[in-house]
Amino acid sequence: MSRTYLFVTGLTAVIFTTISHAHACAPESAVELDAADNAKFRSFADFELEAISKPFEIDLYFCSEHDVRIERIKVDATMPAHQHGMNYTPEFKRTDNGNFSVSGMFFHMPGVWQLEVSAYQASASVNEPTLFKLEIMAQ
Amino acid sequence: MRRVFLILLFSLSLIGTFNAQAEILLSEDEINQALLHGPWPPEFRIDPSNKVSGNRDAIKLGEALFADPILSKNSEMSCQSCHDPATGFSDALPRAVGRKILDRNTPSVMNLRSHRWLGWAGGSDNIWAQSIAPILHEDEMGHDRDSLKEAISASGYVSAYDDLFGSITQHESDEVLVNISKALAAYQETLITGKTSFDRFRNALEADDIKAASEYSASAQRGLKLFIGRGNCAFCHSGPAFTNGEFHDAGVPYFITETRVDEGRFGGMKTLKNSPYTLAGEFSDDPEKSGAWAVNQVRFQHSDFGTFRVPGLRGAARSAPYMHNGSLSDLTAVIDHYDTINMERLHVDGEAILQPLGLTELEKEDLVTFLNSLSDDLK
Repeated sequence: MSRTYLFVTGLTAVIFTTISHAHACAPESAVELDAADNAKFRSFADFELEAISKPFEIDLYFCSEHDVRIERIKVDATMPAHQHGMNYTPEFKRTDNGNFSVSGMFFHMPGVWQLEVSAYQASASVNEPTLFKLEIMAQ
Repeated sequence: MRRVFLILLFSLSLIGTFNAQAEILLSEDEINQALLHGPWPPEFRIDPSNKVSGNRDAIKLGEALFADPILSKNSEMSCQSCHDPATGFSDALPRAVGRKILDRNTPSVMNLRSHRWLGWAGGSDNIWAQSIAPILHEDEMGHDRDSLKEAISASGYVSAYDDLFGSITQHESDEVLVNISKALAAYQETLITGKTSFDRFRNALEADDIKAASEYSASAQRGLKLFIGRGNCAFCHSGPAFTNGEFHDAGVPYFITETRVDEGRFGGMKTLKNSPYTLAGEFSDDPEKSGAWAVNQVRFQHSDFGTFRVPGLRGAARSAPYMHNGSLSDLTAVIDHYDTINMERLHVDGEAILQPLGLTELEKEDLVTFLNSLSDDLK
């Protein structure tokens, strides 16, 4: 599993990543999430974490060479080393291009956070979500 | 001779530079972490939920009301009775005293604009709502809405009220309560601690002014290194106000008596969710409801039970005693508490960052020196 860290220094978020460039469906600034082994599509996240304890938004992109439509998502984040998650429930809305904008993301402590995304396809034959994860270092 | 003098001068300047650099004890990573605790003070921003935020007349009215016992039904206590400017806008008592001894320590009202949640349990999401709570609490100032309106209407404040908000005779009691609280909030917004020796150090580091930075004592620097390093203090006491604004279990008992428990944030969440005075409510003057995301999206969690808001540390040296129940008499006692923290007191599903530190006496003194350097703005 590749590991992606987002280091936040002052007002500027600097991304150090060894993962692949964003798919054509996502902006260059987006980073790819680690996908579950059975994933049939890829997910990218574009965000700017200004500082600890300030809310931020994430734009989520789902990309596939096939016709995949994501009907809904679940988004959360945890801090595994501290055994807690976020104190706020993120909200999402679908954007015009079929992707998602997530608000109310909030990291209240510095350290490694794990972003967890469950993507539910519109296809009625697929009930289980496809899982994606991204480790983010917040400072 | 002149040449010799210049060489001597150059040599002395080099020695001076070397000495100055030697007095900066922080690594590059520690300097970057120290920079995150500023700049300070923050730029003043109008609170859009309060139509009189930043209004000079409202600030003047709020300041007068803050010190006037008219806000208590029996005219025996004012806001200032507990939030005394002489003791860091707290009261120097372990637990506040209203009409009886209350359950918690009086929190300072300095730097309130830095807080997302107000009070030890975060029962309010804005300053004017938090100002309402003690006015109506039967064990504190004990007014009801009607008695407050009557008191203000019969007082010398009525003209200032009318000028700011319109005729009080046209207002329902609840609206008067909110308006008075917004004037109080306008005043409290101005209570901001000043620039400290830590800020001068931090700003000098940012400006690469080693000479100025080296004026910060070695003891304070060692304390800062502990604060952002082994002490794990900065996990919660983060940012320019030295608080993440959230709620944690600090291992302080939450039993008030053998049979009564302080629910902490758990109770604060219930208060918050039942309050009509939040940033999402009709009394907010912000048409965008821009701060309402927090009250709308904050989570009810079992782990909230017995947790309390992380206090900011600026000016903290002036507001002893400490913790939600005022059980720790001074900063040394606070450091001793974390140094020897009782792990069995912590939530089983709580933070995994608190553990006994094993500090030496010198390290404890350094931490106290550092904490005091966050409160020397009045010197």
